[in-house]
Amino acid sequence: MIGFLATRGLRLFAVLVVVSFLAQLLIELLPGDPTTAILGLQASPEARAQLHSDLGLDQDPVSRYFSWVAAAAQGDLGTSISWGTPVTDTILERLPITLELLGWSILLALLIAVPLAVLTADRPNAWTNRIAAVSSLTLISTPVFILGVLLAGVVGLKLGWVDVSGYVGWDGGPGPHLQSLALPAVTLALGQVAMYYRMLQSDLLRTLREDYLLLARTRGFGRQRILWVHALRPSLTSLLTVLGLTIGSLIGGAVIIESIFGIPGLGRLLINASLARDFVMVQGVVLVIGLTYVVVNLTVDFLYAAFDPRIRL
Amino acid sequence: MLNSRKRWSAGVAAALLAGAVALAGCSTPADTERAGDEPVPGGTLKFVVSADANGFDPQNDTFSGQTNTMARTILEPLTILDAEGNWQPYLAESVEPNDDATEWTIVLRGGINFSNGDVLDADVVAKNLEGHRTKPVNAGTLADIESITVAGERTVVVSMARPWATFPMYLTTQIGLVVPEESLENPDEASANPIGTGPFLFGKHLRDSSLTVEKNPDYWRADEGLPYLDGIEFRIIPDDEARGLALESGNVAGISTRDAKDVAKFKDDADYIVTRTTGMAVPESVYVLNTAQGALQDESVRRALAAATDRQTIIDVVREGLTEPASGPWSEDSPWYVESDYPDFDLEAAQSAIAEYEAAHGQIELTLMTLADASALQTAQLVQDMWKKAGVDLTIDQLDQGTLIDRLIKGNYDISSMVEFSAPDPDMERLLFHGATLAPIGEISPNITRIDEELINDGFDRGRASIDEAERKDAYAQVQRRLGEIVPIIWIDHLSTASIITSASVGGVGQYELPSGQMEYGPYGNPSPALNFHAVWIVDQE
Amino acid sequence: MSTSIGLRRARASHAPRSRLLLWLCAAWVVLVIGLALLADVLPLADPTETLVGDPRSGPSSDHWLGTDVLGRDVLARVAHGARVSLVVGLGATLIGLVLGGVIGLLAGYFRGWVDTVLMTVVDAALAFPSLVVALLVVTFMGPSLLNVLLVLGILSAPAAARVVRGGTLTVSRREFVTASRALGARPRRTILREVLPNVVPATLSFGFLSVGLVIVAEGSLAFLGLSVRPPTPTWGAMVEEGRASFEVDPWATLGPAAVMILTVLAMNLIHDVMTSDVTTLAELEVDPDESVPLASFEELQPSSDDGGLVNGVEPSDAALAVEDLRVTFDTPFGPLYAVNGVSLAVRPGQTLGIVGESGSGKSVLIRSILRILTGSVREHRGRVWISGSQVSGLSDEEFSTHVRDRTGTIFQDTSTGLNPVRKVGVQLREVIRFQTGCSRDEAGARARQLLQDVGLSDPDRRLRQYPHQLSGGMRQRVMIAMALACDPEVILADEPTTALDVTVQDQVLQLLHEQHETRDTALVLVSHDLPLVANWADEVVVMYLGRIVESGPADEVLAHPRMPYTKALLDAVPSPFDEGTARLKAIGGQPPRPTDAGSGCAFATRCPFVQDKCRQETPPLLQGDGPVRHQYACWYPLPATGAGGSPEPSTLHEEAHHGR
Repeated sequence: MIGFLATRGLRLFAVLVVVSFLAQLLIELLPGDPTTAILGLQASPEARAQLHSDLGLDQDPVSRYFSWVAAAAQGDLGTSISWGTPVTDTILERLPITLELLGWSILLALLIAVPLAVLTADRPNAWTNRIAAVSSLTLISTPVFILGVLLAGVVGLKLGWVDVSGYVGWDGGPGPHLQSLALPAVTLALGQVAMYYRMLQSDLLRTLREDYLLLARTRGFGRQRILWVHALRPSLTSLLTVLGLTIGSLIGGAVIIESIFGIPGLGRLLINASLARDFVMVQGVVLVIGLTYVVVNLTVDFLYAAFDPRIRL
Repeated sequence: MLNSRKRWSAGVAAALLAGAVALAGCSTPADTERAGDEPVPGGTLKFVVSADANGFDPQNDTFSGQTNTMARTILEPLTILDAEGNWQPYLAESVEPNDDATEWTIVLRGGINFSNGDVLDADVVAKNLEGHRTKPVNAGTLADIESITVAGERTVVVSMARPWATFPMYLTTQIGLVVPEESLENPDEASANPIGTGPFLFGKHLRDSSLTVEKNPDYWRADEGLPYLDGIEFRIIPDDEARGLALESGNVAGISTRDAKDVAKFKDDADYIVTRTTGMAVPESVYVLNTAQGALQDESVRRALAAATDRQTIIDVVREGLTEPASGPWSEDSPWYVESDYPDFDLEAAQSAIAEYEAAHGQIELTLMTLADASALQTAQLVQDMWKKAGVDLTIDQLDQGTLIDRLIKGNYDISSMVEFSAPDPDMERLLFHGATLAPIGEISPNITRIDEELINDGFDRGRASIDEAERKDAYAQVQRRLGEIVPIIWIDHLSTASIITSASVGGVGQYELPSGQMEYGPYGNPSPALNFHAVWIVDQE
Repeated sequence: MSTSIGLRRARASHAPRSRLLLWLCAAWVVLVIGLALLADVLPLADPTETLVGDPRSGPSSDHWLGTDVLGRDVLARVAHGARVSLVVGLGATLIGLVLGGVIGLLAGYFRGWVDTVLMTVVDAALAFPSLVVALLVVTFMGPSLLNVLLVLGILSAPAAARVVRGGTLTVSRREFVTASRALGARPRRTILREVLPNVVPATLSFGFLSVGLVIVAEGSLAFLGLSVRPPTPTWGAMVEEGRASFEVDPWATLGPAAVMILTVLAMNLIHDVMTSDVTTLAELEVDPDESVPLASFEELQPSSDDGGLVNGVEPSDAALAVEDLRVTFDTPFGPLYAVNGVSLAVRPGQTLGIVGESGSGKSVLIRSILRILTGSVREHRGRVWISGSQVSGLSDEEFSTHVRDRTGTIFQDTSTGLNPVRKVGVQLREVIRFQTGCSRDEAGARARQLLQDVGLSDPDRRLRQYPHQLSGGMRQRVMIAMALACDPEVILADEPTTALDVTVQDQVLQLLHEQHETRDTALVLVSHDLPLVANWADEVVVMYLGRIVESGPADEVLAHPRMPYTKALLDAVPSPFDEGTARLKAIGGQPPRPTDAGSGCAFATRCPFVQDKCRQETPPLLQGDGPVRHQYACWYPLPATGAGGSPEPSTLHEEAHHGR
């Protein structure tokens, strides 16, 4: 357990170091002077020089990196250039929205993919299965932005089923709130459904050939009981792995989805901040995204152990 | 048995999907109840703007049209524009010049308090003006001010280095917005949590998403029943499509837009009211030319490019035919407009002029900077194709606003797409053209076309110094004619699609009667127009 | 028997269908590449020329996909847009494969700390959402084809490194690489000569996946306005431009979107087919008896006539009876006749031993009786009686109800026979409660009793443990307890002791025997170990390649084997470790593939006494000439006198020896 935590922790720490370093590297790539983006057309050269030193742009990159890391370790990610507010506060405001979006879409994807995989697992040649196989690959091949545009266009625009007019917070009431997240979550979920479905189904196919499941059949357990009670849990490992691995692409998808559907989450924050050359904010968001990835994967590791007693942490 | 199972397993996915959609629910717009002529108090208005404010501190944040839309529910200016586009005293009771307009005396209205309880007095107004004069955002604009003195409890005197007849016009802008002392002392707080004298109080702000403001029960015009609304919820929707959809679905009651598609969609629909900008408030869509380098130093090339640009086609394709072609900064329905020698569309003339230049200097290759918004890109690609026919290679460079502005003011560009010139007074465009603000390439120059024209400098100087209407008209006519000759800017169209679109259940847009008795100026501002919500009301649809 | 209808399943013939799919995908990819290459030559409009038609008009004869918002031809733009997608897709994949290939080869070849360091970096790089990185880099460095190409190329390197490393690791452990390393060949030489060619197939298949991924990534960037500059058309930018007028003119969006999806789909399908081809080839090397790829619930076809005696037993009196059971699998080599017309019967309280080598069909026989066959079954027919009633015609549900409290089954592999993620007690109690409908507490008490009965110490502790916490012998006892939970009338034990060490083997068999004695249960004991089975069984059946070749009372068969194969089984020394190595020592040679269903005795290829007749005619299973019931299928049976198991082949037979 301790050994596991140590190696895992070390690995994930390495991820964070690389990510934070990358974020720093990006700023060095920045062409032009970020101060003009902030001060606009009519600022005086003196004001620009002042801002330049305020932002620490006159320091060398290495010492800037270390002072940033030192502050970040204490939870201080600096002050946003374009808004003048603490980056940590802004991120804490946005992170829950993105996490909620990701959470709903993963939940939705699991709610669709797991029953679908379980119910088709023991009939690999049935027509439902073939349709599911082809459509899942098609879904995997469909870029999330196309899915978003089509869903917004057809479900939102042509059918008028859902509100595509931006995000409503919880304080706007749970109904409108969930409604404003519905289409984005469905869009994100669809790609995941296909991925989860394929993984879980192939695992289930393997599990169903195991002796203990064949034996279970001779003991007269019904099909549903065998699938759900006996076969599902031992088959979850790959699904969990995929869940951990795809969190990266899911976050990437969230960036696009948030900008299509106007969700004020971390993704949109990142795009806006990078367009505004607010590199302090960009750095903070990048770090938090890395952190999210790390936390999710740690959780997945613990889930492995929870689902399979053979695995010891 | 087997079959039914199969069907069940196939049906599960469908059912779950349907469930997900059902969770989202349905929202069809209710039959719109029309607002009559009589204001109805109460209700909350949901209104969409396209971008969030960087902050609400008029001292330190640059206010865009969207910022103004939201901020001016809380903050109010010293002077305000009337329906004619003239300034009227607002928080000020009067604003009077001395004879040569080198000294302006501002007398404040009595009995006005900030929402934190502070009294609006000469002291705080002087501190506000002093702040604007010294802080980077507006220091350039107020460079002519010499001193600001408190001359009484409600009297402030502003002295100028040279005559400045249009000074009160500037008090209608962000410069005139007055905040209490506590906001001046704590800019971060002022930016996040504005306090003012306005009809509404700051509520909750979720950046990039929404801002709510609530009725100020102690508003200084409360005895007149103002404001009518109990509150406003601003929604920030950057996506052009989604904005129109939000209005159409009935989820919001109004939007501020400059998208021609929105105007085209709603203008003939009786369930909506489209209030378009007019006169000076109309912004112009233009291509700014850097006259300080390359082929664009040559006046004949600039004129040829103008001649190669078929403005009407752009209007037909990109603006749904809704706007008028432009040949100068001010539209024909503004009092300042005069005709000029600006080139008409003439492809052959353009081709021969370009050919002549290229014979001597080689192929013309230019790069156009543009923001990545849809209609700007469409225009750019149309122009690219038009100029190609005239023999000019144009590369389109999509940039973010920051980089674009940086390159613009340092002169590191050939051509830039821009939407500008929505100020109510010509004097407010002075910095863009005056030789006094010119700097060499690489250094910062608000004069982005980098021209230094005697006639233009003189025109702006005369227009600023004079209080005489005829004298001023003559001065700006001189400016327009010269601009038409030398073409530092290719004018495309007067963007009168900049508008406020509301559901028919909303009343009072542009109908605010000022304390001085005049009606307010209509929607104006850039990049999308702002409006005052003081007299707006909504027929409750619940 | 002729009236029973064989159940034919749709052949899970992957090959022709996937080949067709592969061709379709390849054709589409070629079409798109052709469109991109020939876009200038084809009679298409200039993709950048505006107003070649009315803006936002739908498909027409002039403009097959309509025109976009600026009146440009959508088809022309899609064709030209393919250039960007393909250049970036192929280019970035190439960059990624070269970069990642070098990293992967180095890591996989040198292993050790090189591997650790390189892979830690690769993992960290894989961790971060690549789209976010690409988005940031392109925003900051400015959108251009080169920037996009470079960023996406570098970003696809880590995944390529993983794939190449995996391949290299596998290859570099093989003999020829180890050998060339031992011979002192330079790493570079070895990598280039030996390793690289062997990782190419997997890498190539990954390449297709990667091209698809990069095309999606480029599209996403273009959609956000972060790819090639306008007016150069890209699919992503076209979708973005088109969506503003989706209501009026959906084609400007749907056109590029569909082409993009189809292209990515084609890439993914090619990758899928390539990977599954690799696995199919791998599976072919496995013993066909175990390579059955798919699981399914099977139905045994009913029989129309009730038949008569089976092995002299009235089926309705038998605990278990089987008549003319046939199971045929589909394999890439053709049909595999795993069980080929087997009939047998067990009386209540009797023990039947079924003996044969691996692959003789004995396990398939048990599984087919229980309807738990796995694999692509082509034919499964015959008649089965369990505790006196015919079950062949029952539906799955009826069969299940009938069988569940009449049979108990034990499998060979103790590590797979119990559900690894559920506690022993949970599994045992579930079986008890399900089959008896008793209360939770009763089931708990009964479970404890059962574990005690099978000789497990500290049953309470065992009940709380997971299977992996028990030893093999304990697990086998648990399995036996589960088989006994319902007081079955017949216990089917498939190699119950093979996986156990010798001392435990005996205990387990003793235990089974006791249970069978005390409860008067019939026992079917399947094993490859004839002497062992003969010790415990009343009757013995010997199987070879799906057929019964000899059967009779255990002591009779043991004492007087008539079929040379049985004799060979008796002489064989089974390895205690691995069933597979228990080769027939007395007689060499390999059995023919069970897919070759030629005529003649199946044992002819290995029989030391083979005659021409053996190769030409299949010997029937016939009652021997002795007084005892003893059947065998042999044209030239061994003399019935050879008691004690010492072979005395006649000289005549010796001369005809053809063993290889």
